Amino acid sequence: MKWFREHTRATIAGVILLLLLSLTVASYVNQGSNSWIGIQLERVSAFLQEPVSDAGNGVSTTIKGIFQLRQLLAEREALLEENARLRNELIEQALSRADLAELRSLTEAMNYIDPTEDYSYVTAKVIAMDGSSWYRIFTINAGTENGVRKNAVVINGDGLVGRILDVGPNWAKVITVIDENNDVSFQVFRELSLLGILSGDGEGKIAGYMLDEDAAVIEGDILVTSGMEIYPQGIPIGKVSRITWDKDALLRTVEIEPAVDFTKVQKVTVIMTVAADTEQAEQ
Amino acid sequence: MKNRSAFIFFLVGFLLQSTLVQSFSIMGVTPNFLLCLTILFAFLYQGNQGIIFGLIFGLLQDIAFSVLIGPAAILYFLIALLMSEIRHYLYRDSILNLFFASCIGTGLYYLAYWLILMVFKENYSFLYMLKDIPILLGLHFIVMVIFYLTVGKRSIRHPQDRYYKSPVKFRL
Repeated sequence: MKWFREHTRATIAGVILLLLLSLTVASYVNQGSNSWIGIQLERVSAFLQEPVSDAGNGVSTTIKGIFQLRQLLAEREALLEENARLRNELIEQALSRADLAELRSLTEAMNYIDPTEDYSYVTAKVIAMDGSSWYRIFTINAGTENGVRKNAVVINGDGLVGRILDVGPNWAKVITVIDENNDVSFQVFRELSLLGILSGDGEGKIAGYMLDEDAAVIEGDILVTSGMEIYPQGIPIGKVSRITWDKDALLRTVEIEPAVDFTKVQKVTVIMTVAADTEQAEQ
Repeated sequence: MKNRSAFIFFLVGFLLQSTLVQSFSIMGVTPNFLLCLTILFAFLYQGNQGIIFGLIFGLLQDIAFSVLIGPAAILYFLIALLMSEIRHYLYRDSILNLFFASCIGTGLYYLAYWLILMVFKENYSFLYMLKDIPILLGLHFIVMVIFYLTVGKRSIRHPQDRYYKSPVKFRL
C-alpha cells in the first residue's frame, strides 16, 4: 500500500490501462454492440460530422474541378458517347416490351413470388471515414429512424461495400468487405456453377478460394455474391486479378480486385430483407 | 494552454481527420491529427492535457471507427505518458527534437496497434502497415512543425529550456 501511495501517478496510469484493456476485451467478445454511452457519443459525433463532411466534399470537388479540367472534359466526351449508345439500346429494347408484358401476365397466372420483392432500400450519405488504414469503417447518415438494421447489406453503384456493423437512431457504422474476417461466398458471373469463398486479405484487397479445385476460373472473371449468407445474390464483388494453386491446402486460390474503391465511397444503398424487418418488429 | 483551448484543438482534429482530410489524402494516406496533437501537447506543454484528451479522443475514435474499442485510447495514453517523460530530457525549443518525438510516437503507435490487432486475431499484414509509415512520418512532422511555429512557441517556458529568459527583469 505504501508503494501505491508513493507512486500515485504510476498507480492511476496502471488502473486506467487495466480498465482500457478490459474494455478492449469486452468489445472483442461483443463485437458490433455499442453501449448506451457509445450510441449517444456517436449520435453527437454524427451530428457534428455531417456539415463538416459536406463542406469538405464541396471544397474537394471545387479544387479537383480546377486542377482536373482536362480530365473532366474527357469524361464529358465519354459520357456523351455512352449516352448515345444507351439511347440506341433503349430503342432496341422497346421492341421486347411486348414480350415482357406477356411474361408478367404469365407470372401472375402462375403465382410466382419474385425474391427481389423481399427487399427494401435506403440510400444514405457517408459522413465520416476512418483516417487510418487499419479499418475501412465509415459512418452513414441513416439509422434505425430510417429503418436501417444491424447486418443489413450495403452496396453502391459499383458493387458490394459491406454490411452494417452497428446502428444508432440517425447513424450507422458500415464495415467493408475488405475488413471482414467473416467469409463471403461468391459465384463466377461467367459460369454461375463455379462457387468459392472469400474474405479480406489484410492488405486492402480480397482473397479467396474455389470450392472445386478444378474450377475453370480465369483472370478477369467477375465475381458476384451467391446469395448463401446475408448478402443477396448477384451483387458484384470484384474481378479476379490472380489465380494460384496452393499445393499444401490443395486449393485454387484467387486474388480479387474489389469493384468498389473504398477510399472514394460517398453514397451508398442499404438493402434490408423484409423478413428480417418483420422479425425485428415482432420482437 | 488552457484546457478549453486544448479541447477545441482535439475536437477540430477529430472532425477534420474523419471528414475533410479524407478528400486530400496522399497515396491514400492521411495524417493522424489526434496522434499528432497527443504528442504535441504531451511534449510541448506542462500538465496532463495530452494524456487526458488523448485518452478521451482515442476512445471516441475507437467508438466511431473501430471494431475493437480501446486500442487507440490505450496507445494515445501510453504515448502521451512517454512524451511527458521525454520532455524532461529534450529541449522543447528545437525542431529536431520535435522530429525525434514525432518519429518515436508515430513508429510506436503503428507498431503497437498492429501488435494489438494480431493479439485479437485481426487479419492485418505487417508489410502493408509498414508501407504507409514513411509517408505518415513526413505528414506528421509537417503537421507538428506547423503547429509548433504557429501555436506551440507560446508554450510555457521553464528554466531547464536552453534559451529560457526570465520574465522577471532585474534592475541594477
